[in-house]
Amino acid sequence: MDAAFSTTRSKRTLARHNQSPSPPAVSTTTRHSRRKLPRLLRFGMSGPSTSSTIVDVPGDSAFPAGPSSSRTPDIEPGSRAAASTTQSAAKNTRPPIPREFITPPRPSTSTAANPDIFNPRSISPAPSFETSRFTLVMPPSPSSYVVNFDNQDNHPSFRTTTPNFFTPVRSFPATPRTPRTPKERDERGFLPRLWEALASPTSSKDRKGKGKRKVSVEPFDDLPLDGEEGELIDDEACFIEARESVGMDIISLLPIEISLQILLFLDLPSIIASLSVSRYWNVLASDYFIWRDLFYRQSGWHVNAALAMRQLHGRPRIARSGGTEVDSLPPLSPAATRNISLRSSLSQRPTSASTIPSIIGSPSLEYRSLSPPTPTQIIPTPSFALDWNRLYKTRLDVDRRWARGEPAKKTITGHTDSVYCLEFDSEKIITGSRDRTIKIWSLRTKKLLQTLHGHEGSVLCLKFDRSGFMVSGSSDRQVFVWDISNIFKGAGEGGRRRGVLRGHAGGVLDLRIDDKWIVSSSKDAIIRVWHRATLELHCALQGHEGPVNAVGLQAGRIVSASGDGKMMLWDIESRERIRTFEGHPRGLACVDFKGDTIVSGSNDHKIKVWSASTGECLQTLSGHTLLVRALSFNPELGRLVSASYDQSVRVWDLRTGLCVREFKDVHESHIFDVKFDVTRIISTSHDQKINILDFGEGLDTRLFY
Amino acid sequence: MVNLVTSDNESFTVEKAVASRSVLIKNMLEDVGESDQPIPLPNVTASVLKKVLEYCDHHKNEPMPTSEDLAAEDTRKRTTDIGEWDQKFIQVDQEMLFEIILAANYLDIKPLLDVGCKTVANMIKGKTPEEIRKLFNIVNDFTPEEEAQIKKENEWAEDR
Repeated sequence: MDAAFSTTRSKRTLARHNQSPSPPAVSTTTRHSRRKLPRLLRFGMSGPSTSSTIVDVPGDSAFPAGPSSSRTPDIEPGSRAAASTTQSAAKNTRPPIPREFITPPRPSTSTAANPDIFNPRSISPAPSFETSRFTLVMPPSPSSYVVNFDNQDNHPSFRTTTPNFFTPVRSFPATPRTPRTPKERDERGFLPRLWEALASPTSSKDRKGKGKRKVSVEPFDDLPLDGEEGELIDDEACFIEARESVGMDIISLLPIEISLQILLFLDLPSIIASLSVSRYWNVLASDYFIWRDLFYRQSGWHVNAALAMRQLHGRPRIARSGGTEVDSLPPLSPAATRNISLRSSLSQRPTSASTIPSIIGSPSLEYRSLSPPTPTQIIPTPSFALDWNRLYKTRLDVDRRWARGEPAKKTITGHTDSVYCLEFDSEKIITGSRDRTIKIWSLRTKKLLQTLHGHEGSVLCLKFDRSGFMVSGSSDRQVFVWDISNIFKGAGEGGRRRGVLRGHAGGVLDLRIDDKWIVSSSKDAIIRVWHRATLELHCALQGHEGPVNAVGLQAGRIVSASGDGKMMLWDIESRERIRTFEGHPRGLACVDFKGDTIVSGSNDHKIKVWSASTGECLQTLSGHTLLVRALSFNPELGRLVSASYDQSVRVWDLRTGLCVREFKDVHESHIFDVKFDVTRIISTSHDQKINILDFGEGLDTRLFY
Repeated sequence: MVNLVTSDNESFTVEKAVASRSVLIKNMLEDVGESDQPIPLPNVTASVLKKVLEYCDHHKNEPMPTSEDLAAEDTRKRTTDIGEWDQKFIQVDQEMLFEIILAANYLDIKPLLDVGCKTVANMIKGKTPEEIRKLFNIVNDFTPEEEAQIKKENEWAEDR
């Protein structure tokens, strides 16, 4: 439909209506729109506090007719309304034009009470108030952007004549208009909606008075009226489709770094949609810059940058072809190398547009083949350019497996009695057992690397850190300090004992370490704090009336959980008790302390979530049917994993307080400890086994932590 | 007062506080010192500059964003919330929106650039590719095969 044509046509239409103001029958189309449009109009008129000008619109008779001719149904009802509005408004020197006519209100910024209507998709496939459809005596284009309606093909073309300092002038044909179906017509026409809203219950209060309605519109004071088309100002036929091609590909026309900045504000579904818009949009929305940002916006998603750097800057490697694992890590998933020039140009401050030349149209932005990279390809590593799209996808896959997938189950055997405790990192699992040994296992091969002897009783607890510093506590009342930093260097002799901490009068039930302290808790109801560097005793904290089954340590503070049912928060430097938490009716078995959150598991079968700063119990998680023996949680992911004497492992979502997974009969007896990382849950049990639930089977998850 | 001259040779006289919202102009003023010399802005037309100055005038008393503020923006959470006044200000047609973004970029008015970018982002949000094409008048230049392949490649993103 040609704009010029529609202009004249709408004028004609209105002229006819003006001649015969009596209300004709309402056409089918109009009735249809009456029925469904109130919602739409509320949407349109719901901008925050728009009522600055009240326009009185005469009653029903002012909205006489639907179209009598099927030729112009999308113009007429609207035109009538517009005519009325403008007529009344014309009492002012300038017709007030609702802001809503100019630009669609933004769903995300609206404040109206009916949130569902702000999803444009739920209303119509197009923005409800696109200006490309109707324009109220549109002021002249403020820029020198020119729309040419130049031919009979009805394909307007346009070009920018603005001196364009960043982008080359691009000109391209507009998309030919496709005929609209009657349904679309009803949903899109603004003025029918206006009309309908005026008749709708929402405005009925106003109407009941004197048969008059009030339309709230905003003052329109910025935009000058068009001199050239001045005659339209006084013409009631001011609602014209003069600028149906008002849409312009802002994303492609802007300098690329600005376009990327815009895409950075989008969420995953919108980025996915952008990939399918056009070739240019596809290249832009595929950029690693966008995907890295999407990735890091997810709470708790991390990439081991150091490992990635090692991988990328090492010698080029050939990707593994078979499924067997080799000892030197296979290379990462083929790193995306496309648009390297684009990426490196963006690696600096992305918004300093004036310093980065636009590369629109340069060969590096040419649309690339969509075929995925071949599986075995040498990785060129000119820069730290990971395939963030792929990382995102894989990481999401892992989360989905946690939520719904069936993990691969692996079992490690070797201990000859109950396995009381476990710790693991990306390369090893370390376990302590009633058989008085500590065993170190390869996480990847599940093979035993070393057995550490020395304790004269059951090994009840242990902790280690990246530096190879390890402590273990035993029912022999001793804490052993180990150096396991060479565990991968020599077979069977990597770990060695460095010291012994003596003092507890009962078995050492739990341990924590940080870079300064070693904290041990004991059956003797006392917590002891040791200097990590010197292994000297710093203090003994007394207060509990029963065995201290578990301790947590963070930032100079200790939380302790006792069989007496109480939990206490201590400050190491001042050696004082800050707070006592009470809530569990029975003894506490386990505790974890991260951020401001403390989680505790009890013999009352429940888990409680506490605020460390207020002492308040935030949540109580019920589900286990026996004592909750071990807990592990990740505050960023909001994920809590618990293990119980009831032989089950449960996964909880702390954001919702719901149990999201239950793995029953993971073990054949009481579970004593559980830990998890990005892809695995590992548990140990009275059944002497170490059990791994793996959610990353078949995925390249090495970079995640 | 500062005298600004646009590409179409219109001259605007504005308070220094207003003009200095533009880091470009602010730096120019610092470089040349007090001077009555008009500052040429060859990349901005009068209609756009008028709009931009309207923004600068409204925000003239606010503290300039510091480099820390700019750094903080790179934090994880990206909001597309726009202040109430800014929202009304930016309710313009697409060409003007485009020109404002370009001008804000050229004049180095980061908050205005942000408002512009967020506005475009909000226009894209929640739409299907076809709706985006319609809104921005974009020609679908994929072959049907490519389109099918992209769809297939991105099936993973659908919430299962």
